[in-house]
Formats: sequence, C-alpha cells, structure tokens
Amino acid sequence: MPSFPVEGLTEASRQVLLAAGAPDDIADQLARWLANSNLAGHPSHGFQRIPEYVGYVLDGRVKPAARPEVVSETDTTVLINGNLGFGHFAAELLTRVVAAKAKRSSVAIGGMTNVTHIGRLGEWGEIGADLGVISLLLMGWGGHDAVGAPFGGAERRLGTMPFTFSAPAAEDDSMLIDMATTASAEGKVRVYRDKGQPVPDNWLLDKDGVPTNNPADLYEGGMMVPFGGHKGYAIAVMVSVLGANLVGSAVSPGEEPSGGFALAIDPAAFGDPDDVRNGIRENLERIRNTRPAQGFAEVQIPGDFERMSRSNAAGKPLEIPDPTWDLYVGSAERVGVSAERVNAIARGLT
Amino acid sequence: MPVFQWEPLTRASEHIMGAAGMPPEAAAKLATWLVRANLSGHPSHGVIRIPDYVDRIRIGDYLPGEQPVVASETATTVLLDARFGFGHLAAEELTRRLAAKAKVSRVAIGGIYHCNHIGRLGEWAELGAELGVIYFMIAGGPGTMRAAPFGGAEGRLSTNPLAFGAPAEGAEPLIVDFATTATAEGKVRVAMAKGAELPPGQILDADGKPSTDPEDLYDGGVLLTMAGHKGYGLSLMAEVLATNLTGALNPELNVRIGTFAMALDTNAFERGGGYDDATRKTFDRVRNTRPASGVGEVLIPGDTERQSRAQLGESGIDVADATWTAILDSAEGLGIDRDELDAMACDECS
Repeated sequence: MPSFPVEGLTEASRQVLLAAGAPDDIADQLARWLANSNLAGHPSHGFQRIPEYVGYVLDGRVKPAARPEVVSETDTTVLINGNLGFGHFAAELLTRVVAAKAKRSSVAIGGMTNVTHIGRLGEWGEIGADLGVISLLLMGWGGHDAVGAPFGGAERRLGTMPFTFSAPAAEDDSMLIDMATTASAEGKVRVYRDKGQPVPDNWLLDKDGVPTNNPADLYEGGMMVPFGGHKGYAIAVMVSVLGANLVGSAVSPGEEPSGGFALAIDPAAFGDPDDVRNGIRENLERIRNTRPAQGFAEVQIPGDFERMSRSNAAGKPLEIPDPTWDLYVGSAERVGVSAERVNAIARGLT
Repeated sequence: MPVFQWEPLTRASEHIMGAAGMPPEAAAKLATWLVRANLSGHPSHGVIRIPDYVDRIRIGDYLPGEQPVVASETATTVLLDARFGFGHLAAEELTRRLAAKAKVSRVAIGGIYHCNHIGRLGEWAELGAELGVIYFMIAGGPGTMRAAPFGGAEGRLSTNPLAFGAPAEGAEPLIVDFATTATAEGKVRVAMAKGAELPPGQILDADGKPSTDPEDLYDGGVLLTMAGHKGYGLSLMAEVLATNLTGALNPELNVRIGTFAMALDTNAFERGGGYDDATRKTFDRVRNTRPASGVGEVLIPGDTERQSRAQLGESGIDVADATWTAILDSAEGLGIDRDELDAMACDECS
C-alpha cells in the first residue's frame, strides 16, 4: 500500500482541482478540507473523493468555479444558493452566517439549495463549535439514489439523511455528533463485502425486504435500514422535512441538486455563557469518567475519536490502498495531470 | 380488567387531581393529557401516573397550585420557571409561546427550569403541529441515570427523550416521540415479572457484560442507549440543550432535569405553500413503500397514535386491575369514596 505525506496529497489534490477548473482559493481550501477528513480518521470523506469530484465536474454536475451566494436573509434566517459549485463552500458559508446571526438574535436558522456533496459534515460542526455556538447541520438528500428503506418497508425511499450537532465547552472541549440515519454508512457495507465477511444484524434487507447479513445483497436490489429501527426512521423523516421541504431543495431521492438546513444557538441565549460552557465541560467529563464496559478501554464523547485521530496522525504519512490510489491517479489524468506528476507531487518530490 | 370510556375516566382523574390540590382548570388539563396518553396507546404516561403524582404532592416534590411564570423572554427566546408545579402546564405554556414567537421571528427557542415531569412529549409535538409550526422538544439531565454512555458500565444518563412535530396543510402531521435509551425501564420490569428474556442490546450486567436477563438490571446493571453510539449521541444532545443551555440544573435544590424546545415557522424561507406541498409528498412517498414481509403497511411516525386514538375512542380504554386499584387507593387517601369514584369513571362503562 503506497504511503504519502499529508502535505503531498494536499498539494496533489489542489493541483488536480486546479486542472479541473477550480480557482486558486477554492482548490486550496477544498484540498485542505479533504486532508482534514483523512486526519480526523474519516478517509471515506478525504482524498479518495477526488475521482468522484473530478467526475462531477466533467459530467457538469458541479461547476468548479461557482461560488455560493446569499439569496435572502432576515435577522434570524438566511437562504444560500450553492450555485452548483462544490457544496462544501455553501455549507461553510451557511455555518458562518447562521453562527453570526445567532450571536445577535440568540438563535438563527438557514437553508442551502443547489449543492451536491458537502464533504464531511463534522467539518461544519467543528467550525460551529470554533465560532462558539451550539449548531446543527443536516442534508436533505445526498443527491444519490435512495439506499434506505422506511421502518417496515421493503423499498428504497430514503437517503442516508446525515446530520451533525456540536456544542462548544470550556477548556477547548466540545462534543461533535456526525452520523447518517441509516444503520451504517454504505462505505462500511462495501468494506465487509470486499473482505467477504457478513455484516452485523439489523443493517440490511435483501431485495425482498428480508433481513440479511450478506453485504452483497445491498448491491442486488437490497436496502439499508434506519439506525435503531423506528427511532432512526423518525429522525430520517425529520431530517428530510427540515433539509428538503422547509428550505426548498429536492424532495425525492435521485432528484438533483440537493439541499440542507442549519441551526445555531448562542450559549448566551438564556443566561451566562460561561456557566453554559463550564456546565457542558463538567457534563462531558462526568460522562468520560464512567467505568468502561467489557471490551472497552474508555468512554468517549462524540468528537473524541476525531481529536485522537488528528493527534495520532500528526506528522505521519497516510497510507492509501492501491485501488484507491489507482482511481485517484486515473482521475488526475482525466484533467491533464500526468500519472508521473501526480505521483511526484503526492510524494513531496516537487 | 376494567374498560373506561375516555370522558368519564377524564372526569374521575380531574376529580382526584382537584382533591390533591390542583386548581380546577389545571386539574382538568392534566386529566385530559393523562387520558390522551392512554388513548394514544402510551399507557405508561397515562392515568397510571396518578398515584405517583399524588404521592409527590404529599411529600412536597410537586406544588399542585403553582403555575409556570416567564423568567425572561426576547423576540426569539423564552425561559419559564415551572416553580415545581406540574411540568405539563409549563410544557404547554412553552409550546404556545414559542409557536407565537416563531410566527413573528421565524424561529424561537425556549427552556423550562424547576420542572417536574412534563408527561408524554408527543403531546407537545402534536400541539406545536396543531399551532402550525415545526416543533422540537428534548428533555433530560442526570435524573434517574439508569443508562450507560456508549462503552460505559455505569448509569450516567436518563431516558432523555425527544419529540418532533411537523405539520403539513391537508395532511396529518409527522409526530416523533421517543426515549434515547434502547428500552424503557418499565419494560424491563414487565419482562422480569413474566420471567421473559430481553432482546439483545438493551442492558448490561453489573460487570458491564451484555445480558438478556432482566434481573441483571436490578442487580447493578445498566440500560443501554438505543442503537449504540448513535442513540448515545442523541442522549448527550439532550443533556447539553435541556440542562446546560437552559441552566436548569440546580444542585442546591436537587434539580437535575430540564427541558428545551424550538419552534420554526413553516414559511421561514418564504416558500408560500412550497413547504406544505413538499411535506405532503414526502409523507405519501414514504407511506406508499411496499411493506416488508410480516408488516401490514408502512406508517409515518404519529400514525400509530392516531390509529390508537380512533380505536380506543370507540372501544374504551383498558386499565389493568392493579393500576385501577392503586388509583382508587390513592383517591381514598385524599378522602374520596372508592365507590363514588368507581361510579364516576365507570358510568358509561362498556
């Protein structure tokens, strides 16, 4: 398996995005967000997305130079048009505008439309926490075909309907939820399939709606079930109401483009913000100090995994599986960056 | 098992709560909400609570004559002091105030402190939807603490429930209402009484090992959160919003729970009827999913409660003998004649 310095992969990704038509600042920032995903321990949303993004540009689904813009706003709301650019920029703008409005109005909501993939949702939750607000951001439809069945159903009618929630705490602590409302991410099913292992119970139904542990069934007309049965299903419908219906983006799977919703709350909404931040910190520590269950070394807060990944990854090369790297190089070639050049840049040789 | 029609059962409940010290209007409201929980198919939040409420009034935990008061408010926020009265009254007040604020400010958030049990959360999501807003409510804090954080073996979290209501013109609303624990403690108790095993994934024993023996919960074990780390994330969200943000925790007064809620105007992003059309379509698309084997039809959250109300409104409400006896005992303790109450509740008995 080839390994690369993070800086090299970031630069290579920047060059590929530039060659695909992204302006300097967009290519630079997007490459850094991809790096952040790898460093946070989520390679599924990192550099390995480059082939997909290049594909989006080449087939016209993403306009690499387009920038999001505010379409309308009030003291408590903002609506952003992603203009079919890389959705990450709409998500970032939405996060920042909603946070700023919440600091004046105690709470603010926003919507975004005309976006495709917006990257790792936790990135926007982390920015919200850095800006000092409690925040929620969710996606109406992933822009992909539906993969999820409603609870009790045997047809694909829901997307992965992911959301992120974050809250800042004293002493630079925070909590960060970033999850899909399906029982698992599709990428994890793929990993089980490629290893020839059965998936855990309650992840999948086959094409007839019968529970299955065979990961291959997902790719033969099967479907994913919501996390926690009827409870996760309820959250998935809630996410679609907010992320699609309220903001006015696509309301059906497969329909494009996609949209999303965000909320920010000022910790000072009801009282002294320092008390709130200290209270959250105490609460998180109270939970972390729980005696671990059998098979666990410690109790973590959502967001601890990403923090630990970042500190473990610092200064170390990143390993990229061969098939992933082959696809990456192939996509670079599609926009005129030679295999030789992309390899050299990624290895930090230029 | 006695079967009661909802109206006389409501009158009897109102009579008891009035005798326990609640003002007439408050007693009537509480009785309505309790019986509506029974009608909705959630007897755990229905008249079965009466003996407990009466006991809590007697020992001074609940102050039956208190009404919630507004502690602070702005155009987008309201904080209520429930003054240790019935939390239901504060939850209703909060819902009505937030709905009114959201219609002006597009979004509004609120909290309750010094708050006792607020009843079935779905009641408030239903009220919010009836008032025409998208409504979210979440409650919790370190109250009963029977649930372990994901990976932990000690109880540090309560049931931390959440509710969500979304109306759509011309359709029945989406109503979500669930606890973030894998099961309710009461259900484990029922399984133990029957000598039944629990499904996997609901409890750990005192050593932090997964167990299906209900007795293990009462032998130092803990409840698990729903769907592992995902339900755990939602539970922490309840902690942050309901207690830390609202400032509801008050160790001096031994207050360990709080409530947070939010209302959104369905026209927040000025889509005219766009929200209603899209939401109706979403509900229809999901309901029209082909059912999985063994399932009659695919429902949206809220359908089960509506069906139950229609059915039990006709057939009457079954109340277990032990529950009714406990209610009669409790009433007798307040100086109410058993036979008189029995007749009052049963005068239209089927």
